[in-house]
Amino acid sequence: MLSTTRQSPKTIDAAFEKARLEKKGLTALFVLDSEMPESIFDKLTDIGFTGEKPSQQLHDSILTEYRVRGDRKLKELEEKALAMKVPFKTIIREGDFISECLDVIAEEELEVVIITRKKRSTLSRFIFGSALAEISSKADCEMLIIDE
Amino acid sequence: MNVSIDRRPLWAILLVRSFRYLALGAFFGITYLVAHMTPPEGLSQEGLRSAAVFGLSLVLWVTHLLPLAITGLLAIVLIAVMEVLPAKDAYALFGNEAIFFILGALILASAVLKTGLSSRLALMVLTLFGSSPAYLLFGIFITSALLSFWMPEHAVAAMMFPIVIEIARGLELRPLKSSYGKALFIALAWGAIIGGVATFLGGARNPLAIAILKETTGKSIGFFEWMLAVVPIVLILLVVAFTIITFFCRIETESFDRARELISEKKIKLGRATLEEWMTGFIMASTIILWMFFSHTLGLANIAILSVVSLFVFKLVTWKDVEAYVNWGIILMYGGAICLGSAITKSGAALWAGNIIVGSWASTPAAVIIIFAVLAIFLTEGVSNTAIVAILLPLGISMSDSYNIDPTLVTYSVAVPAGLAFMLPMGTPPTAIALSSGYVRVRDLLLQGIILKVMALFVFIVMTRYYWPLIGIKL
Repeated sequence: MLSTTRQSPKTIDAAFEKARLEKKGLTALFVLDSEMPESIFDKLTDIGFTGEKPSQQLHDSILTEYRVRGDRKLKELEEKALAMKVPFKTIIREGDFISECLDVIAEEELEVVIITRKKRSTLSRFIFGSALAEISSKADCEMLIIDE
Repeated sequence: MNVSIDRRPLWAILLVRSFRYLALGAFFGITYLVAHMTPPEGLSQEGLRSAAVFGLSLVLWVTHLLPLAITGLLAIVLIAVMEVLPAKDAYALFGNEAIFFILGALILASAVLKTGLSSRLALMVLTLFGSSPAYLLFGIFITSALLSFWMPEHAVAAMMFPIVIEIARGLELRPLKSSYGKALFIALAWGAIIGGVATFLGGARNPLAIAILKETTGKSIGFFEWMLAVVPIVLILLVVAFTIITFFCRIETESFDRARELISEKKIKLGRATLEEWMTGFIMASTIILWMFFSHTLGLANIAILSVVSLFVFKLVTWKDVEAYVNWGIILMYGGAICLGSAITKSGAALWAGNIIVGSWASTPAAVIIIFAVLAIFLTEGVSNTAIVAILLPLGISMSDSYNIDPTLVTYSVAVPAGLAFMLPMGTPPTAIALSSGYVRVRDLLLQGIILKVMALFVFIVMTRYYWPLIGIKL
């Protein structure tokens, strides 16, 4: 499970290694996290009092950039999969990280989910919550958590 | 159907879901109780009621439990309902000249954005500086700053972002890894922020400050007077900020041809300047000249509205365009802020609160000015800079009499530092835009921003002491 802010090389290596050893296919999901562009949109309109059009243009521009980065990352992984002879599938989604992950887990009937735990303080996790904890509690499959 | 079950304890779910209502209920309840208490010595009942409304507005502006504009509306209603000002007077403050000036300036900016004149100007300046990575960095910084002299800084940052992100992509700069990429986005944000304090057009908080000054003291500051006082500070800050950016962010990129190609491709794509762009440019330039040299005789708002009329006469914008580019919430927020400022000053609550908050630390006029500048420059990191002006300026102006300070000096001392939010994304959109690029971390902005903030405060104090007396602004 990858996203705009979650692309740890350690997690990617662990996923490929597991797939190679267990001779399984790998599905890479890249979520274009819409939370950041949406918060910028809100900030521009609520605090900056900017009109809807320039705010929307900026929102679209940020998402386009995230999509380019997502495509580039997935292409890089595809090449790696080819070299390691691991069956590989890519999915790119736009939206909230948690709900997109849960949707793909259900749709693709994934056996194991490999995901990065970002470096954050306990206080930050307590206040802002943890996407990983929420996915773990709701997903009906094994979770492999790799610390960043 | 995918059903997700919330497994948290019921009390936790209820608490999270009702927190906003509980908090709002508590704040309204406290306001009601405070407004009906016996006033402390030195404060009238009317003053206490206006202080209660002020406190509630402050909390709502800081916490964002309600949108800024709605809090502005609420302030007017409460001032009328609590009989601090007669309803007729409270609502009449919406007809303030500053509101119509802001309205006109925003419609003019919408024409500049809509016709593409802003993008053309940005690309023209970038072409001038596109000969090396260091020059390009300076070009982005100075373009953001110069455009923010004449357009809202938030709109400038939003407009510059797609250009800069394409340059970063073209140069294959890696997000979070590239030091040059980081520099490009910090330059975009800081250029817009610093440029935004130079005139009345970069941030509407400046005309708001003038409106509060005029409503409470009858004094005013002209467009040219403001520029004369503030532009030298802006120029020094631009030098300091650029030095900090280049000191912390190494320019590691050498292959630069792609950036040059991108800029010229974008210029070619824009084609030749259209008649609409020329005419919008002419109207904008004429308006600025009129604001600079004839605002005392013709009036800022009158010039702005006549320019807007001419945009429509020549069909340069349609009303639909204006609606897409202008956020009308600004009018509600500013109307409320002016009304609140007027109410707490006239009722004596501002002087009372100012004496409690600042008076105990300040023994000299210079200390009062420094305290307000420090409060404004640091508080603006966490709170909207407009709200900072609305909160601090009435207190400062009320105290100016007892300390024998010119209230225009207090106005500069709150409005200018309030615009200088360099560190956190909460205070102003340009820093949030820089962070969204993925090239800049919060810690980069915190480290470099605190240095720039301290330097900015130092520059501001030195200019207050040595430059402003030369142009007639004395302590």
